[in-house]
Amino acid sequence: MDKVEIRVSYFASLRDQAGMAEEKVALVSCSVFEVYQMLARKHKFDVAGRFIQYAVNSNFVDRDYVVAAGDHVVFIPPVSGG
Amino acid sequence: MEIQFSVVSNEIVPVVLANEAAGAVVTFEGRVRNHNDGRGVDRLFYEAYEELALSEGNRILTEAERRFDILKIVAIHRVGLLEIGDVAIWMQALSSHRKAAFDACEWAMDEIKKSVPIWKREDYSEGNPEWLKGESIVSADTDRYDRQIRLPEVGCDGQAKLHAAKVLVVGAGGLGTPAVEYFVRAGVGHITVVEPDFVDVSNLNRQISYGFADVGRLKVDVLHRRVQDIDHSVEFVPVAEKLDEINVEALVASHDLVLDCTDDFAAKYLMNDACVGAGVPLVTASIHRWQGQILVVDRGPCLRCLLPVPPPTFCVGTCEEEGILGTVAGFFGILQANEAIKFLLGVDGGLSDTFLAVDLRDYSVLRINRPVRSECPICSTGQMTSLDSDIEVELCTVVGGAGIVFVDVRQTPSPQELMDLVTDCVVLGSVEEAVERGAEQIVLVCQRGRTSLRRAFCLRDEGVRNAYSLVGGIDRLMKERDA
Ligand SMILES: [Zn+2]
Repeated sequence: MDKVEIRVSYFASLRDQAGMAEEKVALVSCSVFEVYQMLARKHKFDVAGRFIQYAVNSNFVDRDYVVAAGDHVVFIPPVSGG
Repeated sequence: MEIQFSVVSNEIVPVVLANEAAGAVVTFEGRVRNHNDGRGVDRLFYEAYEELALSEGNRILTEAERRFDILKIVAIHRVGLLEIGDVAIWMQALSSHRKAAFDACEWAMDEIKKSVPIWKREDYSEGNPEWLKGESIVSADTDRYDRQIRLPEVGCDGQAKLHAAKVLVVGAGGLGTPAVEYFVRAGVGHITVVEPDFVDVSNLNRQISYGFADVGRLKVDVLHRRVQDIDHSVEFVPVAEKLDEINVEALVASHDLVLDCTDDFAAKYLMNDACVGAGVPLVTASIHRWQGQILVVDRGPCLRCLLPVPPPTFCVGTCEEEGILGTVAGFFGILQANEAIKFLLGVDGGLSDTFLAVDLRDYSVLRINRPVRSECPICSTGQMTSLDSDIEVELCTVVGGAGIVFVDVRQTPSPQELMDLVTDCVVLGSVEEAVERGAEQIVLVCQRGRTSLRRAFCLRDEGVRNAYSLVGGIDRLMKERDA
């Protein structure tokens, strides 16, 4: 299957754990949840995918949203500091 | 001049106003008495919002002249320091016949006490002088709010709205302290602060209302004094308690707006649910190192629309663990106060369907549109599909199954009432008991099916995978029984 290229941004603790604010990823099109699972393994994220808020192109999406080429995906982990 | 209201700082010298048609002259003197509410009073200090006092006083006297058959009415209110026996207010009404002058004086005095912005401080014999709000609508001086009243979005109307507003601030830490101080300076009339903690020396880098000398003291007490130093006319209610399922509803329902300044997900979701239920807007913020986020819940999407259940606390860092710079906390606390003030003024902030995050290290800004999710357990009646979609059950699908146990999880449980509604089923008093018995399915029941759903999620996260919530709760059971 052809791969699609997407842009991924990390937020809050994910940014710290990934050691970067964003990266470009080429992958076989799948859901944002699966994209997260893949990148979580790569960066050793400690937040479970069920607690991530997924945004694509400035809109929050369900976790089964399937990414398309050129999508800008943002992973937002829960943040509670105050 | 047939009517005149004036404010003076010198002693009032009573006179009799001349008018040949006046068959009656009624004079009233309000004097400083030596006691109030059983306490000995040494002297009084009156302060006026002079511009408004004059216009309001004259409006009342004009109305008195219209209502009663009088020839003339004049009133003088004294401000400054008054001793026992001094005349604080002097009023004289002239009429052809005495009844009109008596009535006009009495009515005008009542109105002046009710709405003219003059307030007093009583100095008691035993100490602790106290500012009394009196019965005035505005207790402030014009100069204090002058710079914001000049804004077209504020004006005198807006200032009065802020004065009448009641805000609830939950958490008096890095977000809460700057927010409260800006509320006070903006003239928000009533502020309730919920915070059970004591000042720790490690709080001082960001919790701006506390000083070194306050370490070890109750935060709400220190904040109370700080607020009074800035503006003693603010009504400040300290609540030295943790927000919980028992106190949240009454606290939220008695305020116009809620500011979530906590670092605790359970508290955030408690406020979310109570605010959506009561129709009270919620301004919530969270910070993580250099980043912070803010959103407003107001008749649009709520926190559960973003993430249906609060994540377990272990997967979220706190300022304690992650570190935080005071300026970052302050920035977002002020942003919250800014959103709240805009809401109270009726200025749309644009954050009620948006998630805004700002990184203060590189100034990147993230704005994401938030939709209302159909599977949100609070905003819609739809079932949750994204997480544990089997968690909600209906009576007809569970009744008759072996090993099914019902538990009443309402604040004041009534197992007997539940038993009458789910005849032939096992009803137990606690979840623990149900777990001990090795029940196959534990069905939680509350009044409307919301508390039970929240509780069922919590239980599942704790490992009780067979926890369920009865859709619609007792209300629905009763409806079905009566149908
Ligand atoms: Zn919602």
